[in-house]
Amino acid sequence: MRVGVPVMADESVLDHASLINIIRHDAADIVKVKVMKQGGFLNTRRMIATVEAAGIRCVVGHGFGLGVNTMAEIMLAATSKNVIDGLECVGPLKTSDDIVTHKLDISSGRIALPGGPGLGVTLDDAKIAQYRFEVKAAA
Amino acid sequence: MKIERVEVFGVAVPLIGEYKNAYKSKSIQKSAVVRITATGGAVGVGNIDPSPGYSKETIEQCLDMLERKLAPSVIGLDPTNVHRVLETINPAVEGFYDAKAAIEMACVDLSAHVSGVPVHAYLGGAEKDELLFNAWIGILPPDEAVKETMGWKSRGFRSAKIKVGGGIEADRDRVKAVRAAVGPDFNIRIDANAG
Repeated sequence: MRVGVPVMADESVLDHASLINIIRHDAADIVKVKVMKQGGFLNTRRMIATVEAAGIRCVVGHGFGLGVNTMAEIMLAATSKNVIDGLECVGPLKTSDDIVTHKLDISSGRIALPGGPGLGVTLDDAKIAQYRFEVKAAA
Repeated sequence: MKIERVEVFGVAVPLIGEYKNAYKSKSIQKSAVVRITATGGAVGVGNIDPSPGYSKETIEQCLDMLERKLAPSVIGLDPTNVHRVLETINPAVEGFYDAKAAIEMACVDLSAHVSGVPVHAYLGGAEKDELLFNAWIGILPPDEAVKETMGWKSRGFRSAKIKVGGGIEADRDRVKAVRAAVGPDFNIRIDANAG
């Protein structure tokens, strides 16, 4: 059934197999991918390539990421023109603090591509200690 | 180069205000942070922020899997051979992509660091010099949604994602009000999650 508005698949996109399934069924115009949800940079980058080959566009971004995950998605998104403008990795707009030494400022709606090296982020050990919680052992 | 140490931290960072989507409302973000240290002091960091209702595993499950299984399984591996790391962690447990991502992210960060390049160069190179972000509007009454969206627009945002899934008429009213307020030169994306 065709609707007039482009449809994006998000929760249904997990691994490459699920992505191929969506493509085979012509089920979406856009797919949402996240470095976290897709199991890392390499898996996600390859899925973006598959999506592009299928003529489908991509949205990137987990909405509640801390500084490391957010930077990961920014850097990944930068590597493909097939990723639509309007990254959704806007955790720094919502979190009151961060566990990296320099909290990203995306309050103007855009940033210049960060230069790294690596992700270009450093953990703030004091903040990690401040916000740390322990997982209770399973009963 | 070999991985010598994998630290796994659970952190709970308060959010500014409360955020409502079709699953739930939250005011704190619980996340996992991973730091890998390898031969010679090379360091890489990874981080995941599972969302209740959306993510397949809870943060507690992710942290448990990381601490018990995934982190120990990569000690001694070469972090700069990410394929080999994935060969170890992927079959270690079914699913748990979020937890696996935290380890892989740290290995890629480390690998790019030792090569002296940003991660985007490690992945093949950047095709964009500037990144634009979507504003995020939760399940709010129309007038509040309009107020928030106009605030983002005035700060420079050119697009917003509006959460829906709280009732079809309320969703329609929210989106209609925002569109009327922002005009045609602003992209709107709506997100029902699976609600």
